Amino acid sequence: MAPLLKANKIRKAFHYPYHTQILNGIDLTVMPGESVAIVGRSGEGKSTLLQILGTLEEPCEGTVHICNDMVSKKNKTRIRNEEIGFVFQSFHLLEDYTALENVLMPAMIGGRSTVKGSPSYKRGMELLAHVGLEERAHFQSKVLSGGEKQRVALARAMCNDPKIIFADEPSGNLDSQTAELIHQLLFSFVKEGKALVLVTHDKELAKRVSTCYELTNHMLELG
Amino acid sequence: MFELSVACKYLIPRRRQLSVSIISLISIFVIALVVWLIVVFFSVTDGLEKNWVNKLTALTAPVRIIPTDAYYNSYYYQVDSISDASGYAPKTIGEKLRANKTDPYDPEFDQEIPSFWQMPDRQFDSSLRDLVKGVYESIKEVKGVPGIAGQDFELTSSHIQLKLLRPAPIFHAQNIFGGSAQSYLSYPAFLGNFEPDNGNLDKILFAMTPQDVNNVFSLLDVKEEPNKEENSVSRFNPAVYQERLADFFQAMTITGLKTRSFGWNIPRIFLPKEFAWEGIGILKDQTVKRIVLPTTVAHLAKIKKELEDQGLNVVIGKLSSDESEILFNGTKITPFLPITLEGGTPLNGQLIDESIKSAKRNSDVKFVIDFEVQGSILKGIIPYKGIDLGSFKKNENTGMSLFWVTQKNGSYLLPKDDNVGDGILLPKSFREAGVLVGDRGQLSYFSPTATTVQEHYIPVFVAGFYDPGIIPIGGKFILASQPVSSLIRSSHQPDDKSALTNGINIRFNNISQADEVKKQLLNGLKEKGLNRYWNIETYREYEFTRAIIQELQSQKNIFMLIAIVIIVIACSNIISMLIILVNDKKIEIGILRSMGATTKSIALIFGIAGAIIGILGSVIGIAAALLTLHNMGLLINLLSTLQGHEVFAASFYGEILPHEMSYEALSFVLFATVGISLLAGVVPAIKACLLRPAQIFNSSGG
Repeated sequence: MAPLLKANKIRKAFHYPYHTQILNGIDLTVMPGESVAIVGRSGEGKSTLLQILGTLEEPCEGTVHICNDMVSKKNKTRIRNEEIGFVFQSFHLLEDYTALENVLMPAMIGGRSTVKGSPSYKRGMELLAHVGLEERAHFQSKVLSGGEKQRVALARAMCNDPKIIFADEPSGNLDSQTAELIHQLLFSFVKEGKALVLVTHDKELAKRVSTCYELTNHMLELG
Repeated sequence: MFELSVACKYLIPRRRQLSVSIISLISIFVIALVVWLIVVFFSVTDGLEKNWVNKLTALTAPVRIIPTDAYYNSYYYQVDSISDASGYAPKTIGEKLRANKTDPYDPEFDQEIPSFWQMPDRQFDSSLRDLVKGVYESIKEVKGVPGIAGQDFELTSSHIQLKLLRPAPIFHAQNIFGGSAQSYLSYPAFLGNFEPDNGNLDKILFAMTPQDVNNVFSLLDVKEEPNKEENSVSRFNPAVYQERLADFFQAMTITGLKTRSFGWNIPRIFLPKEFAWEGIGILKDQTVKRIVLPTTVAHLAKIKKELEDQGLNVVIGKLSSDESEILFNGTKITPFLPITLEGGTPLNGQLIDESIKSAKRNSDVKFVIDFEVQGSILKGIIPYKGIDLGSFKKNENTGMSLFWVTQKNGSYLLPKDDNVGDGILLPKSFREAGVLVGDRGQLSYFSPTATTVQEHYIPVFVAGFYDPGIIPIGGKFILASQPVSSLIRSSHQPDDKSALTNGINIRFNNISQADEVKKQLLNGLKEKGLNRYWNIETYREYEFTRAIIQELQSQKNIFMLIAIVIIVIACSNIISMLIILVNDKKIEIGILRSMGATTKSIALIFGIAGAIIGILGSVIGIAAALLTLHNMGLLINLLSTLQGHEVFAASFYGEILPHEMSYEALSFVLFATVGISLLAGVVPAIKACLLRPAQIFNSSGG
């Protein structure tokens, strides 16, 4: 079985305002059905690593393969749209749009029809139903609560049926009850044979993943 | 297309992006203002140019062929001056075209050909090359130009004298019908030949006015006698008058009469048995000398003021009947005291056909009339005396009129009246000076004799007016029939060969083909070896219009340059707005990028946002321009009122300023504003593209 994510010797350093080494030769492989947590102290570079793995940032050295494709300038927008989904700590919904429009945005960007009755529209509604927000589909996203916003963000991440979800502190801004709901939704995604890579400070959450790494001294170590 | 959806969302004004919303609204407003200004300005100037060019090409032609010096120095032109067959006089182009012989020279009878003349231009068969007929052949050979035809023109100079016979105003009891007053106009003028087949004349000919019709009719029985004492009028004999009367009523149906500006004396027989009206008495030595009657009481104050302004002593009173007597303010008035109906009152009137059969002069022609005075209807029969013809209807298909220009089967007919003279068409400046259709006069010119120079006169009458447009000599350019213009021209020195005097007007349906016609004609003349004898000019190259057309084009170009600068400045607002928008929407750009939006899509979002502002501003501006053009009259009246004098001189811009939307202007502003708006979106779009998603999320705290 081929890995869904494979990172080889990832190095990252920032040179402004002064030279700072963030990552120093990171290797990581994530298989289908695997959930991976990256923990570590603040400022260690967990989010930077997640962004490199999720194609949002380029490493100084090393390569990232997603679904057997090496990430390059040419294919990274396609990979972002089709193979991966993001969940952020601050939700990052498009505030001028409704919950459903937010969920359908990856499909729209991918050039698929999202008119009522289209397959994408049906999937969007199913995903909202899956996260328990069917009745809020046409609410402006700005009027939703924090937990609702994160559930919409999760539905949006799953819109194009990605293979991997990258989550950066997905429950960092939520109460424990809502956080638990989000965790369950994330792990249900893994049960479908997909992969989850998350960055968290939540030790309980870290215990529930299949593999937990700690980022320390710019290197990943099994936690 | 999600880019459009996102761009639209960004442009909806929201409180939390107040600065962007305000700048967007200002941008739209400024663009709309600029578009409005450009569309209105260009529509008006385009309309003016079209009007001027239409009038110019209606009177002359879109293309003209003018003889060069080589033509005038050629054997072909000069040979007529030594040939008996040509009467020893050079021929005009028209005469050359109609001549049977190309070479009229007969060595047996005619003098020897001067040695300094150029050699005859002969063809391969040794026959003389016909320079004029060759040109007409080239005109016939022009292809793909509907309606093309050539017509020779002649221009000469003369002196016109016109006699204006007008009714004199009445104020005093002694002057019941006012009589008439004579005045004279005398101008040096240019004279051109009237071209009957010029289908464009309808663009410049003025329609007859009721004053024109009235003038023609009032002069119907007046006979011109050159040596007649001034202020006495001769009349035609009854037989001639009957013919003229029949001609007039065959061409015209009178549908109403009108009191003259100074009023009309109501015959006593018209007055009902009982009435009680408000009137104004004109006093002299404390005695009422005339009573002026308004048609309604509402006019009373206005008429009183007018009379007082004339320095008359007036009093308002009641005019009433008491059994067989008429009283003014309770005092009996004499049977001879005139009761005058206010000036300019329309009267329903119908000609009594029987009256014209026995009429010997105009005052024998009678009408049945009825009119209303302060609620009372007055009826009766009156002769044509002291009153004007008020409204008329031209009878169609009656053939040539004896009195004015008529159109039949696409040709225009300039009348010739054997009893009065040749009809002429005058430019509108004469009309503005008070001349009316029907006025008579003479064209004078000098011709050399063996010992002296003799003055000759050709009697003429005004058969119509035309608008000469912007031609500098237009105000003095009279159109007369070909025989009249040829006669006067032939009396001038034969070496008067200036370019304006003789040539060929080339007319066709679509003046935008002028350059194409010139090109084809040049090629045709070149093939026939005639190109050195002729110059071909389009209307843009005429000596007398070139400066004006070039000036107009320069003004348009300068304004277009200014317009582009203003549009660029207006669109620079868009750049500011979009840069602020990019900063405001940084996070959203990062989110979209994380979901797979390409840099192209991000750039497109801001490009579209800029274009939408440009299009919206343009649409609003165009709608405002349409509204302005539709209500141009109101706007000009308002400006004139504010300014205290006319904004646009009618003599230069025409009675009505052009108010049709110029599609050229429309396409220019749409192209310019949308194009520049799109360009304005480029800088912000580049800025948006350069944003890296990770950097955005890091700076926003993930």
